[in-house]
Amino acid sequence: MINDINNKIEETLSSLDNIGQANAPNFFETRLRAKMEKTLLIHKNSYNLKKPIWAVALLTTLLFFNVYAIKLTSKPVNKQNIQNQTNIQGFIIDYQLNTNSSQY
Amino acid sequence: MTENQLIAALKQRNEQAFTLLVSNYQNMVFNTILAIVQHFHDAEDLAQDVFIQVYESIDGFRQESKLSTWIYKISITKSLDFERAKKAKKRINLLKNLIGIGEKEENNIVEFHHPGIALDKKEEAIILFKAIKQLPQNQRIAFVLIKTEGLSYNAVSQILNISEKAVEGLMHRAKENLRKILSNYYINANNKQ
Repeated sequence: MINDINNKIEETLSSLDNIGQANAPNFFETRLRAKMEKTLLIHKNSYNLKKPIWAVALLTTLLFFNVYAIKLTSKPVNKQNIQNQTNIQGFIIDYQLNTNSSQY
Repeated sequence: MTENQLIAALKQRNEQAFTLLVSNYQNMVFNTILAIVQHFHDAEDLAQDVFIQVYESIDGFRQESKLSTWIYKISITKSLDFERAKKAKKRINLLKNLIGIGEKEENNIVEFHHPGIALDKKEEAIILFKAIKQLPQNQRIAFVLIKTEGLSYNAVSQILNISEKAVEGLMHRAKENLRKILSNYYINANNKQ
């Protein structure tokens, strides 16, 4: 019985010897072109964030806005403060408000 | 048209070049995928996906290997991804069935008849293809490429990015494992009789 099984195993293992090639079905290219049109149209109309180019572009934009926002909130405020202070000092000098309050 | 000319034309999105590519490689791609997934409709679908990917990513092909090697790699990756997705879907469906919300799945274990097998070897080939499905991934791919595509150890080593010795090892282990699987199969079949 063992011999019989061994023979069957060898026979089965050799069943793929001289196997022929399975050809693609008829009209393969026609169906492929139809699928391509559909797929490529979808790809064209979608921005895929998995693509490095889009991911980098998005990150750069975000970074730019972050830096811009930080600059906007820090620098101009200082300038404005200085300007305000100068204005107030000018106002005090103009109206001679810098006199000692004990005079009154 | 030489391979270099074909690649250059494909990079320029030449329609005739693409038609030539499909007619040159469609049987190779289909035959490889069919031997891995063992299903005609899925194999055709995946073969189409392979050509779409070739068309889309030909610009990234650096010609460090032959065009056929690159296409083989894409075909194998697509087939294995498809099998992984199919297994994951099955697992999710099983879980859904456990909690009673899954769809009833047909028991679709179909015998696979490869059209290139001689009539007198059909029965053995069906059993062998079933056994091949149980092999570890690398052994299965090496076995399929060598047996059904008739590729040399050298060609397989380039496709799998391993040495020829490693391919020999994979083939040796694949045959050993197949002998074990087939031995169990025939012992069980004998016991049933």
